Amino acid sequence: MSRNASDGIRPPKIFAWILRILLSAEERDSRLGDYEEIYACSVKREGRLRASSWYRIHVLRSIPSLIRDRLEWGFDMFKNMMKMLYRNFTRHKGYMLINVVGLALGMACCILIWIWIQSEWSMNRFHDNKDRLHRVYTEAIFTDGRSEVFSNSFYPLARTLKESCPKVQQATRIAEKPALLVSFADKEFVENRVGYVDPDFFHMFSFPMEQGTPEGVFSDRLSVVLSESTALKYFGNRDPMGKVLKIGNHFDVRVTGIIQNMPAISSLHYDLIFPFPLYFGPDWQESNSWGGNPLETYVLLQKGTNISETERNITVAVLEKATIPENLKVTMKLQPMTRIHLYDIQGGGLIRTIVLFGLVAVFILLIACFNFINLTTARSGNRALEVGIRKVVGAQRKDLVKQFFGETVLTSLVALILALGLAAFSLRFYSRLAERELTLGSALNGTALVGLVVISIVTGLIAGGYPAVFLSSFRPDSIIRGQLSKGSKGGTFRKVLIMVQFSISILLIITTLGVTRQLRFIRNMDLGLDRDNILFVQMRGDMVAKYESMKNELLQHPGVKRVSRCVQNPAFIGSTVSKLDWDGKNPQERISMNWEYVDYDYFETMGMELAAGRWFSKEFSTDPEEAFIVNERAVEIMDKTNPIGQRLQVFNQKGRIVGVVKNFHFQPLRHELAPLVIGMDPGWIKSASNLLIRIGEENVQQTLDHIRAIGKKFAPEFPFQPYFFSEVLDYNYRSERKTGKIISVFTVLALLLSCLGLFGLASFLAEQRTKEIGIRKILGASASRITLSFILDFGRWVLMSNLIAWPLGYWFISQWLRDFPYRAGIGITVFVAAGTAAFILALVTVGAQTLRTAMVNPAQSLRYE
Amino acid sequence: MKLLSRTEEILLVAVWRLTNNAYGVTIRDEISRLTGYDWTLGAVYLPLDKLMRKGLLNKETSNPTPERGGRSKCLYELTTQGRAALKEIREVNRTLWEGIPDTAME
Repeated sequence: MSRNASDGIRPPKIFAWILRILLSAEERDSRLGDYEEIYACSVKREGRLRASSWYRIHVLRSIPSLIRDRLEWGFDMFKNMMKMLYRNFTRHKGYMLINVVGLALGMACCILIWIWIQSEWSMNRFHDNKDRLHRVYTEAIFTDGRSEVFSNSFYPLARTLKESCPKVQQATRIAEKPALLVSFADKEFVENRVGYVDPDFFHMFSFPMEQGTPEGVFSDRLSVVLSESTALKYFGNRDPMGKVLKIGNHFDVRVTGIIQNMPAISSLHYDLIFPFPLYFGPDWQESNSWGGNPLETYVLLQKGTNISETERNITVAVLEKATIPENLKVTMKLQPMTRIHLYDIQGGGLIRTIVLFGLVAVFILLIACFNFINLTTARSGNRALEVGIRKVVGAQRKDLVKQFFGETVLTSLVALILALGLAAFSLRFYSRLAERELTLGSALNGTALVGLVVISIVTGLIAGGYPAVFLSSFRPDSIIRGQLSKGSKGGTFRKVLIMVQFSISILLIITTLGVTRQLRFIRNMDLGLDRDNILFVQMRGDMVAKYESMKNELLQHPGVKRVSRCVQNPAFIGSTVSKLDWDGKNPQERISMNWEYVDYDYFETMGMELAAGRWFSKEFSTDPEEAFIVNERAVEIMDKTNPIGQRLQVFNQKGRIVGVVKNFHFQPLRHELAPLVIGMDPGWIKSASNLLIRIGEENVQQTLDHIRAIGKKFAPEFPFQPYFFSEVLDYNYRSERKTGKIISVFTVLALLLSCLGLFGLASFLAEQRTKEIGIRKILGASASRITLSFILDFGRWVLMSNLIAWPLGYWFISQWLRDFPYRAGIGITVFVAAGTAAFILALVTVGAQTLRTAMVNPAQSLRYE
Repeated sequence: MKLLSRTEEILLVAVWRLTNNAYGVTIRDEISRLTGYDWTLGAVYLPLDKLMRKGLLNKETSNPTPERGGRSKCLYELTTQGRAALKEIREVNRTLWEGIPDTAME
């Protein structure tokens, strides 16, 4: 570039740079030139120094008007873009509707899943000290390599930790009790959310007190802290402080504090909070037992504490106090408060479902975005003419790029707004499906909204990318002369997207089918007991003490066949014992078995089968003290050929094995069958609260009425709720069933979206090829022939998507099934069924649309040529 | 048609006076001379762009010249509409001041 003498001198760089930024690309060159010309002139006349200072001041003074200029231009462009968008929308209602509604549906799904994830994620995160709050749990490793993890803690643990671990600032025990009868004057309620805690509780957690002080509330053992709503329930508008509540007809407590209602996002959720000792009664003496006790221990650590170091300190402190058998290795662990809801200490937990649903959300959004991209790019060919005209009139390439991007981004933002509306609308239904109270507001905080906006902008940019880059590069003369074959370019790209969409759909179908199959398998699996016609009742109040007379009255009805009771729910016998001994047991070997204590007639009521020996019987008066029945698995572990009559010690009870029960599944099928020992220890039995009733198959309603009447008679103050045992079993799989249900809903949606996209694309291409179809018909092709060729065109890709979906689906399902030792297996039928279903749907979608075009009389479609 | 604003009027007059040499620098010089104020270039561009959008001005890019660091000029000229608008405002001005002698303002 040629330069004259004054040209060695350039205006101040920074200010030239400011100008460059403020000027629009179009005007930049000439206007920078203007500034430079004056500058050069000024340099000649007044010297460089004055010229530079003039330049600086002048640029600064120009800034406000330059900014205003840019904004006014921008607004004008925006108005023009909106106008184009509106015209496009009104002219091609069908496509635009599919486009916007499809994207909005996908986004709404995403928003709903996000809301759910957010609500689960926010659990327990509201505590001010959330990062320092931990639950203490125990990991026990046996010499045979098995390990057990349990959160049940020990009476003296909280106190010990506060005394001997300086890093533990505060600690509390927490125990819960369901169904506590509480009365005030004539008001009587059964309270189900009752907690028993140590005073530190109120310091550690963020449950603000309305009345009373954290220090003072538990100075007396007979006191209680109520939630606001509970206080209102008992005392109305009267001042609750100092009022006396009657607990279960046994003792009285005084209200010493009121806390705000605990939020739904807290996994600790109590309406009444008592001092811990009241769990056992007013006369309970603090115990020094280090057995697994019915409580959990939570600690508040000092700021900046190293977790693994504290875990070691805690372990040392526990090992000093507690007597732990030499050959058992016990480690104390800490679980952060924020993880309690999401991670099971045994592994897995809700987090798996969250990840699964997160993936589903991403998948559905992908499908919806692909639809949008596909339809937009396919249709962009139609706008080649518009592009040509614009260019002729003087539009630059960058203007067109801006226009296309602007349009698609705007459309996707419109879809986002629609999606928010859809999500808000369907939230009530969805809350029921997710079994949680969900709100739009709580989950859609700033970050989430920004995320959604970013997603829609990115979608818009991708969708606009093809027409923006490709179409804008055309030479106007060739477009207008019609040298561009419409919609032909990018065909493969679109078909690949369709393939991905159908891969995702097929993957989701496979997952749904796999989950359903496993659930059905579990439901129909032989559990080793007769699950039908058994009633399961939680005994309350006086029922436990008056069990024998109640049993007699129950049996008077012909419909009641057998009655028994037991300590643990037969669908979930979770407690284990490792204090076991028998003749010939290797003392070095640590073995644990599940234990249970039952009353007479238990096995007969449950319909279990005897493998050897006999059941418990009243004919043997020593049975309650020293008879044991073990399952076959336990016999295997004990390695006895003839177990009957063998000595066996469980906890401190010494006795003999009188019978062997055939293996039955006493835990959800996520657990492998474990050894089990069943005794009749009277100490346990007298407080056993699970009532089991086997009823006849006929006149079930009548029998139920009889049972209800007796329940009412023995515990009038409690609601009496008998469950069928099969329901209790099902309850063990409620989370799996919920997952299955939600996934199937989203699967249907994903399929719908995929087909919607395919429908849009097929109908568009059919319309594009109207003339081709007409000519083919004239040359003798039949409508069915033409449709077939269309179907094959798309069908190939849909079939190919199986190649991606099958291995992924196999991996997905086998991951999910990992939790289950008993698996339905992944049959090839699942895959074939999923693939076929998707293929048929695609076929119908494309076929119906094409056939309509192909049926048209060629005279009509070719009329204008 | 809406009447021109005063700034627009001044600019149009300046462009018209400069005939074939109306671009950023000359326009700024001209209106600074006409009004007696020191206009910034930014303050000139703003109404210029507005007039273009209204269709009263046309612009044309000239060849690069060396004294501008090798940058091209953007020359402005009145459109037919621009001329009409100028004519109209001139009429309005004339009617507005008609019959008021100079001495009345002192």
